[in-house]
Amino acid sequence: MKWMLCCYAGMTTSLLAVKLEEETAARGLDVKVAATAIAEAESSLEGVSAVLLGPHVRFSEDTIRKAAGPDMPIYVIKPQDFGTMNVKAIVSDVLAMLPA
Amino acid sequence: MEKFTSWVEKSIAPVAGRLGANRYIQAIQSTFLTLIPFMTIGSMVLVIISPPMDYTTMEPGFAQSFMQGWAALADFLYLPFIIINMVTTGCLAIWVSAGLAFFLSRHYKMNSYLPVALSTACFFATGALDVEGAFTTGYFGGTGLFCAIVISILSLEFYRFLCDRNVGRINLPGMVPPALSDSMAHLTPAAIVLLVVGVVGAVALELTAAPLANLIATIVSPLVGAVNSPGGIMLIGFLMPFFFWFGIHDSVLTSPLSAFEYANLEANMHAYAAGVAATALPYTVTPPFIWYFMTIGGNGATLALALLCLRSRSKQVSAIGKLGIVPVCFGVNEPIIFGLPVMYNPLMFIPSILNMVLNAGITYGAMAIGLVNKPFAYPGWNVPAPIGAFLSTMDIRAVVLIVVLIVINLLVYYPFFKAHERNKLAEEAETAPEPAEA
Repeated sequence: MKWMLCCYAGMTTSLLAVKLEEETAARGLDVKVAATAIAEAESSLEGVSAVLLGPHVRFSEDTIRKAAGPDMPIYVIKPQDFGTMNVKAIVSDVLAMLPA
Repeated sequence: MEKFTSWVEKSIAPVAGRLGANRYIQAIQSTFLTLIPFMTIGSMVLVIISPPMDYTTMEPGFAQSFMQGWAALADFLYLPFIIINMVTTGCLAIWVSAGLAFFLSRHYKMNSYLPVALSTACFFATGALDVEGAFTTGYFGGTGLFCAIVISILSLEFYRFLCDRNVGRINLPGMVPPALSDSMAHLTPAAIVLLVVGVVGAVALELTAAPLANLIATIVSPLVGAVNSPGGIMLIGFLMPFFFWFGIHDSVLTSPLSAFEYANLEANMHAYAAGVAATALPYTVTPPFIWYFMTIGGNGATLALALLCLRSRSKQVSAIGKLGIVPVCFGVNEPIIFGLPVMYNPLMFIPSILNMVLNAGITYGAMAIGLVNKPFAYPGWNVPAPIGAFLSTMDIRAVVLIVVLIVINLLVYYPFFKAHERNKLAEEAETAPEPAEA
């Protein structure tokens, strides 16, 4: 499974991506998290099964929605969770959005 | 405050969000971000071949020998290094023109090299030829930057418009391979775009005796002046943290501004290479000014805030400090902005804005009266502020200025931070009996 994690330049999120992979691995899931700059997001959707947006790019949700279609789970990370890198909460929320 | 917040969230934030997602702003942002290595390499070679002091006028001693050695090295490396400088920052407008075309055509899913070549050719048509029809290089650098941006975007859009409407696509009989009809489909639009830009370029040369790039530079020069003024930069210093307080990334504002900053930086670099004293360079507002002196530790001058967090008695706040201090040193402050948080935190609204405005005003003043050199090099936005400040100005006084600014930022943040910490400590005392969640 591949998740796409977006922020502006893909800097902060690259750290978060590593932590998310650790957390999903700890739960026995095989998830690759690709930290992506928001400008690249639309053209990198192939094979992605969930899109995670940093709180500062939440306004791009509509653009991504258009490019990804109505069925793509798009999760906007809560500012507090993003800042504190609360990967437990993020992973639980995203997993809840995925089709069973 | 709450009314105001919800008003901004409803009316301003979505507009800023849309702007941030605007394809042109994103293309400009991606182009400049991608070209940072060129800026870094182009400016660092210039620093190496320009010893900051003239050893022939110095007192004998270690410093004099050091400068003499540096001068010898500079002589030796001059030619290869000036070549590197010329083809990177000296040709900035060309790379920006091609870059914009690249990112825009990728956005439109045009999987061809032609749009990039065509847009760059259009920039050449408006910025690289003189009245005699001979090549001129005067607008390859910062002066041609605005022309490159305008022409590159317009020509790409014009080309796309023609292609989308199938202008010139000839329906060949069924036996002809589709690839052939495709290549025909690009011929007419490209011809029309080149014809138009050729005429426009020629008219500009006939009327103004200079390339269109000159006219465009003249038109934007009042704006350049406004950005490079104390009022302009303090307004930017106000708006950047203001937006970030609402969780809107500063690139909404700084991406369009980067054209101005880079044009200014290139002009400074050019002047410095020509021997102008580093305190007397033409511009102050440049990428180093914003990313080292103004936003020490990221938008909102958050290095000071991270330092305060580190020493906090609140478990939650000090955890944020530990998480945030290293990224903040490299100008990445999302953990602090979203974690402490600064975003939507009424206590942090005033100090984050005040600090940026102060940093902007004080630095501008110090550079205006010649206390600190003006920036002429740019090692990249994620270099720690004191190092970046030194390398961009080759002035040790710039480091002193950064330290002074950090102290001011600490003082401004302190009372607001303490109030925030008190709230957090109270929260923690309430929930203390339960084991803290990891």
